[in-house]
Amino acid sequence: MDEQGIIYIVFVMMPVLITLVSSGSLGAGYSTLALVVALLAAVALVGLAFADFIVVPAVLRVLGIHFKLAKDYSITKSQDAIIKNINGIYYATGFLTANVFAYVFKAEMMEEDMDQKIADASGSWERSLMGLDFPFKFHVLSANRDVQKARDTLEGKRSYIEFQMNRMIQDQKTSDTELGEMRRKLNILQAQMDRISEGEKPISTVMYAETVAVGVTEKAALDNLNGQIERLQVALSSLDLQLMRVVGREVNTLFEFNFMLPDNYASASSYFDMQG
Amino acid sequence: METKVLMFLGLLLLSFIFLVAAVASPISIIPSPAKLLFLLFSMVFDLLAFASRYYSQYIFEILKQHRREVVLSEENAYKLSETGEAVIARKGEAYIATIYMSIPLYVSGSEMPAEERLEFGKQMGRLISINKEPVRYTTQMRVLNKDSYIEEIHDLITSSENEVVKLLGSKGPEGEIARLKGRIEMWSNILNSIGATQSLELVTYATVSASGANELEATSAVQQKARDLMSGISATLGVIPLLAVGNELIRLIEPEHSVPFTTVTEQITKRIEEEVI
Repeated sequence: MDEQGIIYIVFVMMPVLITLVSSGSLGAGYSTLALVVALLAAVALVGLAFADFIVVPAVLRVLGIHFKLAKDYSITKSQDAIIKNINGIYYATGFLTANVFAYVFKAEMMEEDMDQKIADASGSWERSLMGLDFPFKFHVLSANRDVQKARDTLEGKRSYIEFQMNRMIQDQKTSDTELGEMRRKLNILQAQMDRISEGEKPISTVMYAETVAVGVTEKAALDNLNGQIERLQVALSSLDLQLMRVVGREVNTLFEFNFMLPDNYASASSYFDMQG
Repeated sequence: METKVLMFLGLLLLSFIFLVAAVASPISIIPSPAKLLFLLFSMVFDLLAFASRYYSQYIFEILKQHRREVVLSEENAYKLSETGEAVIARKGEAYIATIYMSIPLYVSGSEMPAEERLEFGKQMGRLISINKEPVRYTTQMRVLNKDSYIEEIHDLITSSENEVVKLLGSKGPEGEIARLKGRIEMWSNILNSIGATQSLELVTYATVSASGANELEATSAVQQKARDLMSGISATLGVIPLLAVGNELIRLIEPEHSVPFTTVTEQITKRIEEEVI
């Protein structure tokens, strides 16, 4: 969660905490109900904070609410596809995240066979597409980060971890496991700094795939879309990517990206949370 | 102040008002069941306040429209700029212009020797890091537009059928009728084979956007960005990117151009025929 998210959650947790503390003021018999309400609200807030893309579509589905995004375009009740109806033919568009797994960037050592991986990448890509016979797009949204700023951030984190490690070593109670964990974090940061020193540029990317399916009814188009998304997942799974169907507000965001990209790094990063 | 922040503060204030009514008022004035109801309202507004971080626009429209189909906009999602080389969309008060540049890259990694493949991979790595501001690179596989070809074949079949009917009516030469029937069969076979399989094409392009207070400002800003990006792409890959203009630009955006209309109807007809048979 980013800083803005933390500020939001601090504020919205206040009414919940006040309720927990003052539930007795509702009178005998009602204080327990007040506690239950406050706890449910706290659970819902945590759900919204970490998985809004599951919670909100589920609530909208229960309420039967769906959105018309623009002329000819609407989002489905399941919040996972955009529908366009042209002359009685339905075009359903769905999205799939295709980001490189986070663990790749958390490697403790720089990979030695990186050149081999780069050389094999184009072949793997072509092989994975070979069996696909439906339209799709694969997008890479990238923004270059300031090298000096990225390096300074990493240096700052490394200094902090070194400071923590020194304190742990002085403290006799620290276990080897905790110390090992800190060393691992330090190695990850060092590996990232080494990559920058070797000339790699720190960039932020969001990768996603988009596919369009056709049908004579909305249901037929959505059924075809689901089939295509599954086939796309299978085809791209050999590429070491985190493939996840996009649902909820990010479907609208990715739809808008076709005619309105973010024009700076800050606004690009504000669009994405868990799914991105 | 941003609308979503105002909405957050408003909803949070409502939450606190109901909360105060629920926990601070004496039971003699507000009985316990009403207090519990106020507490529920307070928690609902609290949740809405948090949800407004990402969903302010949706919450506002849901509360305003009170219906199941919530209309966020009835207007076209975007429009083409006067020059036809950018699409313009509005976000709040700002205009956002977007340019698409096709990258004519016709190489295959599988056909390259290992060293070239490595260099090609590194070129791709450099490509996505040439820009400081967000740029989207896309590889699109789309169904080849065979609409005009299919329509042409349909016309040929229709005209041949008309001729056959005319000749049958005037008791024309049988040889000519047989020749026309043969031609109809030939064109029908060609139509069947075209409809049975899809021909696909792969295109690569880059997209960049810029905002401005009006259309002209946004378009000029994005054109400048596009020029810089095109020179970067050209220097990295050794190919000259081309601006997508007019219809080609629309083809890259609209879903129906990924699967052309006649090709689709042809395939749907085939599928239905197969299912019926």
